[in-house]
Amino acid sequence: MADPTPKPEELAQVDHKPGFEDWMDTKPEFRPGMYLHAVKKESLEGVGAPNPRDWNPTDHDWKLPADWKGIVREGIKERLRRFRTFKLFMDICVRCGACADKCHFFIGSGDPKNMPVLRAELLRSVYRGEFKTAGKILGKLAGGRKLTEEVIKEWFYYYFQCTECRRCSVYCPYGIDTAEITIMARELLNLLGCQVDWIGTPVNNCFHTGNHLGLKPHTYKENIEYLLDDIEEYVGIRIEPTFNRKGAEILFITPSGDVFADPGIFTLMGYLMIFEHIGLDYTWSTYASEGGNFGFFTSHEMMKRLNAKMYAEAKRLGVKWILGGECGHMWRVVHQYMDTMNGPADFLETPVNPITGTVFEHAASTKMVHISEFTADLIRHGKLKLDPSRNDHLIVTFHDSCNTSRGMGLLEEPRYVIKNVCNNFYDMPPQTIRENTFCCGSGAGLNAGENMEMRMRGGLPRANAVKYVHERYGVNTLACVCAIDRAALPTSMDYWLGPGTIRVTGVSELVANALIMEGEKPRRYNLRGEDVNELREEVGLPPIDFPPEEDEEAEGEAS
Amino acid sequence: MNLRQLLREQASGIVEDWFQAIVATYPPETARFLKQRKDRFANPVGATLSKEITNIYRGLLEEGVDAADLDRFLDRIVRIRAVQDYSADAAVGFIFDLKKVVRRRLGDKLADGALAAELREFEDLVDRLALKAFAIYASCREQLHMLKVNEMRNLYARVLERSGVFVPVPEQAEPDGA
Repeated sequence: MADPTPKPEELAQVDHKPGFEDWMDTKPEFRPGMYLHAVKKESLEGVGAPNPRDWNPTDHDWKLPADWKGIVREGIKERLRRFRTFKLFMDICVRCGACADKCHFFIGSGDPKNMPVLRAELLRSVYRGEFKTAGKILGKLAGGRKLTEEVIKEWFYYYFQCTECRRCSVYCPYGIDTAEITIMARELLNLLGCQVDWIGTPVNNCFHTGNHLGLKPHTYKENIEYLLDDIEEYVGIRIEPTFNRKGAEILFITPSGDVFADPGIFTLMGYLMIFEHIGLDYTWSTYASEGGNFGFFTSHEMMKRLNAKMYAEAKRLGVKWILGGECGHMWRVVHQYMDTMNGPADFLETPVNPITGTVFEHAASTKMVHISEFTADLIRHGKLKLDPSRNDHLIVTFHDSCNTSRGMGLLEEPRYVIKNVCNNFYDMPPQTIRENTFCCGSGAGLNAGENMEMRMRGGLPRANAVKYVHERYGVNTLACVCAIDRAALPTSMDYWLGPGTIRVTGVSELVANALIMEGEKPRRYNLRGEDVNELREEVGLPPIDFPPEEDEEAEGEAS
Repeated sequence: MNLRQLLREQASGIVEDWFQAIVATYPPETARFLKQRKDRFANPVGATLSKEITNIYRGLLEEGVDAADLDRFLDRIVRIRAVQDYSADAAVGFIFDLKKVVRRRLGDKLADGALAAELREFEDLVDRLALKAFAIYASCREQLHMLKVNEMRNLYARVLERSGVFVPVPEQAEPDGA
């Protein structure tokens, strides 16, 4: 038997250069860290979605339904008929490449199939090969290919490597929205039951309990009560919000991540304090207990089903309008789909800020206002008593969430709020913020644990810009207005900038820490329960001379 | 002229060749993109590679360059490659490319063997650098796994803590004689 040990001259041939196959011949490899787990069978069954089964992306046989090809062909045909945009986007790309290097996944991974143009081509090539005469006859020569199981696997791999952030579309001279192509591709995959669990299970939970996490009403309420205890401990005031109260003026809806996930909970404590401070007549709902909508990452129909609860609950409670918390895709759904999907909400009124009298004309149709718009309006009218110096230990930059910036144009309000509650604010370089913002790398249902490598690749361009302001201005805080950002960015910052270098915070948390509440005790602790003087010391600020804690306690007992 | 002087004199050419060799480990479409290094925000990978291999090369030639500095330069590149589509050997293999590049650049000047001892010394340095790179690679991979664990813990710990599922572990006294 020949000795299998490589000879020195063989070892010298080791070469790390990639092959030069055509992209159609390069197949994805499902390596751990690079793909998301398949959806649980029960989660699809729970919402009546097609082809529920046990399967795994690394299996050779994906157990597609018998007529899977017909289903996908029909699915494409139907969508070409229903969505004019889809038809246009399939036909008009001239492959100029303007989008190619704008995707955070391409920039971070170096995988050419993450160039938006090529990612779109994964679907476009099938459109040509199956529906266009030239593509049918000439095949590859005309950029066409046939539908095969390999193609489905490739779609699953790459369309769950797009966060639908729409940065590429900003640069497209034709205005092609590659996110819409991803949306369509995911719909087609869903027709075959090829969903990921991080999306499919939250969808099922939301459909049955009202939120992605499946928190039942009493748990939802209890979690908020725990946070009220924390506020009492650190701020010294007891807030008593209402739940499911009929006749409240405003219904407040936020992503459920704020109710229990760190650091979203501190943002939620911020909402509670702002509303208490101004004496807002509002209520929480344990039914419309989710602002996010993972149906958006599944299909238009599922998005509509999940979104319907917001209006239904607003109607049931008889509120005048809806105020929404800090979330990303929730706002894209609200701003661009809700009104036509489940509207018109003619039983609601055009939102008016009861404290300032400002009429939110831009929300005249959806009847829903973003918390940053609301807070900015309060500050503008001097309705919040603020001491921004309480945040002096924070050197802040702001990450524009893709959906609020590109999806609804919310660019100034969060910055206005931050600058009024913090004395140290530095924007990141212009090509990385506002409408050019880089995604956190984990949006559109990709914020799972199993695909950590993929998430870090996607998070690189954002982290790189944060690193710049960290090194230049000493930025130690990254503010954002999105629950996925709050969940994803701490991990990305830890990997790219080092553990504990950057604190990720919601804007409302910053507001509440600067808010002078009536009857408050000395604010020696922030909402995270951290000693403010210790934080000040870390950045070289002198300590604040708080009265000794024992005195406060004694005072409390005496009263 | 000794080897060190030669390496200094040819620094820009060697670093550029090294950059091209590293970029060639990416698919051709990506390589084209990585070579545009002007905007560090639009092309963080290309810009980081370019800047840090220059720093590393300088670090190798200059005596007294802080080892911690060298680690930092290496970390910035390896951290990226640790999450890209590379096996462990391919992720850090770019270090060895420097040997090839130097031999190719200085080919005729090395032919008579007069600089052989110095060259071996330099190549030993490169080998040690590769070991460092591998250690960084391993720590990055470990960190990725820890981040996964931490996320999972953050997700559920608070709820579990408050629901009373956790029983606090009583503080234990140090064993006698410790």
